[in-house]
Formats: sequence, structure tokens, C-alpha cells
Amino acid sequence: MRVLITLLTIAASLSSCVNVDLKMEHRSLVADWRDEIIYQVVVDRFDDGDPSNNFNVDYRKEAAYHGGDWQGVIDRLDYIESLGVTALWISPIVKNVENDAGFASYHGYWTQDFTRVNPHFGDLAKLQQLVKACHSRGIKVILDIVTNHVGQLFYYDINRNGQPDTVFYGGGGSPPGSRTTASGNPDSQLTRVSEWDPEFDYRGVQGFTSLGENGPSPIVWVNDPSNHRTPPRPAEFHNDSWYNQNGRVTVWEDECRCFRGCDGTCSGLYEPWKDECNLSCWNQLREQEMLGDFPGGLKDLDTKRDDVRQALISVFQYWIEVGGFDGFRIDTLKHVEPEFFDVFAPAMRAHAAALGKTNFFMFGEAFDGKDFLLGSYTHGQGVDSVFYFSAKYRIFDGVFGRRGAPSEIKRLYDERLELTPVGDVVRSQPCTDGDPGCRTRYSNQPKVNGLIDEDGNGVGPDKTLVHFVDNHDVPRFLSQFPDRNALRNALAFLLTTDGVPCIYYGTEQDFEGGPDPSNREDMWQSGFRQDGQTFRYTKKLIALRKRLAPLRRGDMTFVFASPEASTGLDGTPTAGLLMFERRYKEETVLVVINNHDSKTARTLGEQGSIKTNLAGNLSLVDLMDDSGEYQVVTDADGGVDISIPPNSMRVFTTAR
Amino acid sequence: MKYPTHYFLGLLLFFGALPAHAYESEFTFGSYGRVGLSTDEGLARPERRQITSVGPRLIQNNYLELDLGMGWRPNKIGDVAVKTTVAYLDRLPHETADFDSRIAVRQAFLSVEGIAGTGFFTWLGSRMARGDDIYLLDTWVMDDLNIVGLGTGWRNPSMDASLILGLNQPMRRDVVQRIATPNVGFGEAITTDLNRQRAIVAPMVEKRYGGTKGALGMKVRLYSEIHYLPAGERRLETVGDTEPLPDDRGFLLGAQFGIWNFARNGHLNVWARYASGLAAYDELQQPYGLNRDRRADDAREFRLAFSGNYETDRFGLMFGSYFRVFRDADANEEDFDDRQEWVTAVRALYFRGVFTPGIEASSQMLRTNGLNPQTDEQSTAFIHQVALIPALSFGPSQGSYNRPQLQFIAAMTSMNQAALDLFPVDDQRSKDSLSWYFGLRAEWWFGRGGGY
Repeated sequence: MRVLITLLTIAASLSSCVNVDLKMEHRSLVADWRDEIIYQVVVDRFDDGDPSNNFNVDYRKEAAYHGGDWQGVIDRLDYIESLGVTALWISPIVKNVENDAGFASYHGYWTQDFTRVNPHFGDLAKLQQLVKACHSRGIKVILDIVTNHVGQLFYYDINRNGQPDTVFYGGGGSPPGSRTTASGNPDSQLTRVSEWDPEFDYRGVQGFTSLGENGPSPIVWVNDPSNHRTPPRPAEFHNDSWYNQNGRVTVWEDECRCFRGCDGTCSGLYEPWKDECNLSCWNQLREQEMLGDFPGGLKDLDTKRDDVRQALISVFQYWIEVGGFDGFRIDTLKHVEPEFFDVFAPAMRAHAAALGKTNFFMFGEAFDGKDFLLGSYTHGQGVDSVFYFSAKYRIFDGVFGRRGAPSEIKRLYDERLELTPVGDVVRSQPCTDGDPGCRTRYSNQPKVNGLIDEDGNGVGPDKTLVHFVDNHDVPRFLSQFPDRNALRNALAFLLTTDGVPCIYYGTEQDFEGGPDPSNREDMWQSGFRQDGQTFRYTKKLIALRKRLAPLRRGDMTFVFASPEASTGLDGTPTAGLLMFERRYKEETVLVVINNHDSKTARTLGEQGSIKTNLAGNLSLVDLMDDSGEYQVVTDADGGVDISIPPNSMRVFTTAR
Repeated sequence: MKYPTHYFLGLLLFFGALPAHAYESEFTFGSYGRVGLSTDEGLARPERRQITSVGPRLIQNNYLELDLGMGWRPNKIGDVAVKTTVAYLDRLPHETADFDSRIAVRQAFLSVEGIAGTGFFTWLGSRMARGDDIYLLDTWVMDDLNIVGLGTGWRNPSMDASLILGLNQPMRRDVVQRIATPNVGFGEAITTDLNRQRAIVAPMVEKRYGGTKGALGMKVRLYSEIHYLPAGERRLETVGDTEPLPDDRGFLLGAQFGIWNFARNGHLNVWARYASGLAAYDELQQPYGLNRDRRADDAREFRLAFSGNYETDRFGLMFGSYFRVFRDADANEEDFDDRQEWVTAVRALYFRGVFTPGIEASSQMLRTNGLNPQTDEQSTAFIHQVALIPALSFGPSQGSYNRPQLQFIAAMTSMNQAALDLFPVDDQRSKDSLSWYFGLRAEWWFGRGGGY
């Protein structure tokens, strides 16, 4: 009987039902998005907190699922918090096509069901646990979403045989012994087309038989449940006419080909408005980018349709509601027409606000270094911000990675508000102030119900551009530039410049993976150590940014940006030197970075000390110097004489 | 063992010293079977609607066991017997036109009872080592071991004590891995790489009071299992890579209280069983929901069950009830795999000669601790079933267990939305909240008492 009582006691402890509480609290945790430091996580690669969801896991294969999940992220929040970041960007959460051509959907960008979670990462309750756990620590959560496409859920039945094939057109020319070579088809080219992923055709993918083209190719939805390759859900997405059916974007293979046909150069790619020919090429390029399937056979949604827009609005409003997210990172932005976001983004803002969450941040990934294209998505009522890809290429790679001249940084910043022609209009004259046909490259106008600062004032996209050193789509910084000093210089700029900094997981651990998928390493390989030099340096910079409001919110004024390369022994004492001020509400911080790889810099130009905008005879202390001993005093004109070792930075505030 | 030959010689002397004894050989045959035909209201073959780990046996597929035995008794050292049980699973060739039947050898063992005139017994081989069942739910709640091993024990009219030692190695990638490897010379050879067996030790003791010659009987039975799986290493597809598999273990403790002979065929059994780690999973099942160490350590299961039968000359009442709580080993508390389930069935019978009609009601309940991945909802699923079972019983005995029996079964099954949602959306069972079953079935058992 005693045994029975014991067993019943055990039963009682076991049988306590767990009731899942799906209610999410919705309130804004953000006073000003410029205060935030984003940390990007590829969930599958961060940590495996729950082996029970390890289906099809093989962590020896770079392109397979590795077992990371939301529980793993929860388990590592101490680490994330320790680094000091304040917002977590998690990879997409929705159910995906499982595998395609030997690659797995561990990244999450192959949507099959917009409203169900990917079981590899946990269930909805676990996702909510993650968000709640983050919020309880003051960490905001940004969800990665895709509005451009779904996974490879159908194929083009080009030869109409009812099965997905690789189709060959043409014969490759007549054989040498053919009597008909002369009169036949000697130039017949052999063309290979995959029915899963045929190349772009502006007419729509065309069917083809031995008798030639036979009109638009039918599409065939696949039903392969074992691979989660079944028609999309919600069911309304299972609609042929909701997809553009133009085939895969190919323009990147030679983006300039068309433009060179105009004047022999590629400059039209950067100034398409200069003549009809270049504008026509540009329009063709954009047509393909916006209507084509994303490489990998990811089927492009016709986002110009109202019903498609409404369906996408519904599913992502749902995720704000049940996920309690604080913002969206929007994938493949430039493959969707900007007008879509003029509808989508306000609907998201309104829904978030209705739930009680203002300051809902939406920023997009337009994988492009052309400012006027990136900026085109920031105008109107669309997204709040974009990734600052041009800064990635020109500053983080060009100046810090390649040790280029810091003056390039100032140039890029100056260009940000440069006036640029708008629309499909040819104009040979430069833009002038007040010209209605022109606008700034990035919008400086706050959105209606958009981002606000602590005082309730609107904040424009030009102030919230998302800066990054690297991410999951580009090779790791250390892969391209195997120089940890250069990485730390880049991080120094990232965390002291304006906008919203974003750190890719593993950067702080000196990860050095090459292009996708090598740049998506298993974070657990690092042991989540916190004693590495880059980790400690990043943590220190973050702490400084959090401490000094001007570093987060201040206006940026360049004091000095050396036109000399940051390498070599022949330069002046200012080679590689960058000085800028961040000013916010009467408080100024002076940032000095010596990007030179070997020379100590000194802020002495030909005219004496480099002049700042600071008051004269002001004592300044360097906060990067832990001893607090490095202090300088401005001269009567605000000039300062600062010595700074190579690969280092100084951050000055007024000594108290 | 310093002088093994001495022990061997000692054994020979022991057996040689036993008196010569004439014995009789006896062939035995027994069987359990249920076979029949069934349909729903649309002449479709009905599918079983079960959401709990065990369910009412009323609606089941065809199944046949044939017991073939040979006994030699009394032998020099006791009653020796060999027994085999062949099981035929699922659908019949005349129904499916598929003559490749699914056959399993469920028992093949040699037993010796009454060793040297004592109560000692032993067996060796493959067998189902089971205690009492719940007939209506077709389940053995506490001790139900499918094992290849060695059993030994002692038995007298008021007590049983036994110990089973066994091993198993289901053909699964977590315990065995067969790989192609370069042969000596040309070609390839198939070799066993990962190779680990689960070891199980199962002691049992049962004490009985009364119960003989029709008197009221009572018993208490305690049962335990200890499981151990050694560590291993699985080879991965990438050449040279391996994945370590940690060792694992578990234990199980169960108790049963039973009374019988309070009426014709009357009995009442109560079981409680707690299992943890590896033992929380069926011995032939691959553990799932492992913890961060890839072990089943933290898994737990508790079962509480009742079964009984009461009958008079004219009426009978059978019932069975089973409650189970399961937590897998992962740390996730809001887990779809973590569940509590309850199933109960009651059957009332009327006896009039061969005419033995019955009516049965049953319910299944399942509540998971996590969300249904299909609906993202947490809910409690129910299935209720009512059945009329007009039956004809032809056996020599009387009452609820009189077999052979011809049964006509008309059953109505109702499911709530949560139960429907447990089936894939394209499964017909996810669509019909009300379903019908009509079946004609023959059920029998005989000669099941042993192989001799």
C-alpha cells in the first residue's frame, strides 16, 4: 500500500497539466530605435536547445539543418545580454519546403505555410516563450519575413508532359557529315532549361515543344508531403494567378550588359535617367528584378494585386499579434515594387498600434549598393529603413577592409541627402533645390504613425539606416579581409556612427566563414566564450554607445576624413584618420579612429591642430582609455592635438 | 573462473545423478484469433479512431496467433517444453489479393518447470513475458515485455518470484548500423558498425492469498524493470565523420492488486506503474524527445489502470480504465509530446444460451501540454463510442469470456474538433465528427495455457 501511495504521489506531480498561455502583451519597448543595437541570429545555427526537434539534421553538411532552435536561443540569452545588444533579429519562422536539390531550408526563406511555424525550431508556444524571455530582459525581437516569394512549390511544365524535367532546346548545330548543314540549321544552339527554375521571360515562361513555342507554360503544383512541398497555405495562396510566372531573375549575371549597349559604359546603371537608352535598360532590369522568380525557383508573388497584398497583410498582422514582435526585417525588398510597401507598411503600423505597440520598426533588405535604389524604398509611407548596403561596400569593405581612404565615408554620408531624379523621366540637368522632379536619395520625412523619438518627434529613414559589417548573405568580414584589427576598426565605426547598428552572430567571435552557406557557422563551436578580444571590444563599444546618447541619437558632423589610404609608410601624420562629432541636446562626443594599419596618427594638419566644433579650452577625456588618463584640451579655436595608435579609436567627452 | 572444467564436470555429475525417468511427450496447439469483415455506412473499410496510446479493442484489424508446442514430462530435471507462437498480422489475402502475409514469430522458447521436483523454473528464448491484461482495451498495463532472454524463478501455490534478463536490438539506426565496406580483395562487404543492445533486467514477485478451488482470491504483484543501453558511435555519410551516442538507462516500478472469484469469472485488478528514462518508452521503441545530452534520462511515465468483470447467470459487466501521464526527456514543458490520456470502456452482457449480446460504451481523452502543430491550439480531445454487439458464443464455458464467439458489431463514434485535429487534414478521419462501423467478426482462444 505504501508503494501505491508513493506511486500516486508521483502521479499527482506528473499529472499537473500545463496550460499554454498564448496571450501576448503588446506594448512598445522602444523609446527611439536609434538606441537599439541589433543582433542577427540564424536560429538553426545558434544553439540546439531541444534535440527532440532534430529532424533531418546533419551538422556536418553546411547546407543541412544543424539543429538550432528557439530553445537554444532562449538558453543563450545570458550571452546575448552580456554582449549588450538590445534587439534580436531572428531568421524566418514559418514552415518551409524542407529540401531542394540537396539544400535544406534551415535559413527559413522557402515559405510553404505563412501561418504555421517551422517545426525544426519549436512550436508557437516556444516562439512566444522566446519573445517573452527577450522582452523580460528588455531585448526586442525582430522577425525576418518574406513578402516577395514562396518556396519552390510548383514547376513550369514547359514541354507539357506533366512531369518536372530539364528541357533541351535546339540541336547544337548540324553534325559535320550532314548534307543539310548549309541549308539546314548550322547555328542551332543547344539550350538547357530547368522546369523548376527557367530563366526570365518578360512574356511569362513559354511552353515549348518540337514544333516551337506554344504559348504560356502551364504551372503544376507539387504534392510531396514528405518534403513539405505541397501547395501553399493559407489556401488562397494556392492560386495560379497570384504568381508572376516569369521565371528566374538573371540580370545579376551581367547587370551592365544592356547599359554598355547605350554608350559603351556601365554608368547608366548608376544614372539611368541620363538618356532614353539607359532608362529603358534600367526599366528592363527592374522589371526582371520585380517580376522574376528568386534564384532557386522561389516563386514570385504578384504583389501588385490587391488580393495578394491583402493576404500578405493578413498573415503578417497575424504574426505581430501572436508573436508579439517589435519589428520586421523584410527580405528581398528590391524584388517587390516600392508601391507594395506603401500599402503593406501602414497596415502593419496601424495593426501594431491598435494592439498597443507603437514604434514598430520595418527595415528591408535591398541587396544593392546603389543609394538611389535603396533610398527609393524609404520614400512615401513604405518601410522605415533599409540596410545600408552602400555603406557595407564603400565603408566597411572599402575603407576598413581594404584600408581605403576615410574620406570615402564622408563622401557617402554627403551623398545620402543628395538630390536625385524621380521616376521614369529623362533629365540631363542636375537636380536643384526645390525641383519637383527630384528628391533626396533617402527620405528624411517621418512616416505617418511611424518611428518616433523619446520626445514623440518623428524620425526619418535617413536617421535610422541599418548599418552592418556583414550578414548571412555576404562573406564574413574576416573571410574577405583576414585582419582582426581591421574588423575591430569596422566595429568601432559601426557602433559610433548614426543609424541603427546590426551585428551578425559570430562576428564577435571572429568567425571567418566565406560565402553562403559557409558564413552560417554553428555558433556553439565558439563555446559562447566571452573572453575573446573581439567579444570584449564589441561589448565595450556597445556599453559606450548605450552610455552616451550623442552616439545613438546625435547629428553627425565630420571633422576630418583623411583622403589618404590607411596603409603604407609614405603618408602624412593624418593618413587613415577619421574624426567626427556626434551632437545631441547640447552634448557632443568626439570620435577619433585611426584606421591606419601601422602608423600612429596625430591630428595635426598643415594648418596646425585639426579644428573641431567644440568650444575652446575644453578638457576632453578619452572614454576608450580605461585608465582615464588620456585627456586633451582644445585650443582657443577648438582645435585638438591628439595622438592615436594604429588600429585604435578614442571617444572624447567633456572631462568632469 | 579459475577451473571452468571443474564446474562443467560438476554439472554433468549433477544431471547424471538424477534418477532415470520415463516421460511422455505431448504436442500442444493453441490459438488466439479475431477475423472478420467490416464496413462503414458507405461500404468503405473503416479506419480505427484512436487518439490514446491504447484504445478499445472493439474495432481492431484481423489478427491471428498460433501456438505450437511440444512437452516432455516428467523429464529428468523437470517438465521440459518448447513453445512457438506465430502471429499473422492485419489483412487477409482473400481480402487484399496479397498473399505475402505479414508473419511474426512472437514466441520461441524452451522452458523447464519444477526443476528437480522443486518450484524452480527457467526459460530461455524469445517470448512475451506478460502479466494480467485489460481485455476491453487489449493492453497489458504493468508487465508486458517482448524480450529475447533468460527467465528464472520460483513458484508455489501462493507465490511467484522471477527474474528476467534480456537483450534487444531493434533494427534502428540508433542502435545498429550496417555499412558497406571494402571487402578483402574485390567488392564490398556489409559489416556491422554501430552495435549496441538494450539490456533489461525485470524482477517480479507475486503473493497470493486464497483463490484456489473457487475460493475468493487476492494477490499483490510487484514488478520492476531496469534498462541500460551502452554508448556508441554512429558513422555519418561524410567520410570519416561519426556522431557519438551516449549511454542511456531507465527504471520502472509497478504494483498490482487483484481479487478474484467473488463471482463467476469475477475479478478486479488495479495497477499503478511509474517509469523513468529509457523505461518510459516501450522496449522496442526508439526514445524520442531526448534531452540536451541526447539521453532519455528525464522522461517519465505514470500509468494507473483498473479492470474487472462481474457476472451472474444472466448478466455480465466488464470494464477497463487506463490513465497515463507521459513527459518526454526534453526540457520543453509546453510540449505536444507531453500528454495525459485516459481511456475507459464498459461492456454489459446478457447471457441466454449461445445468445450473448452486449452493449459497450467507451471514451478516450487526450490532453497535450503543447499546441497541436496543425492548429496552434491546445485543447482536450475526446472520442466517445457506443456499440451494440449481438453475439453468439459456442464455447464450453459460460459468461463474458466464452469463446469461440461470433460478433456483430454496430458502433457509432463521435469525435470533438480537437480529436479531429489530431489527424492530418487530408485524412478522412479529420473530417467526420460522427462515424459508423458495422462488422462481423469471429473471435476465439483456446489452448493458451502453455506449451505442454
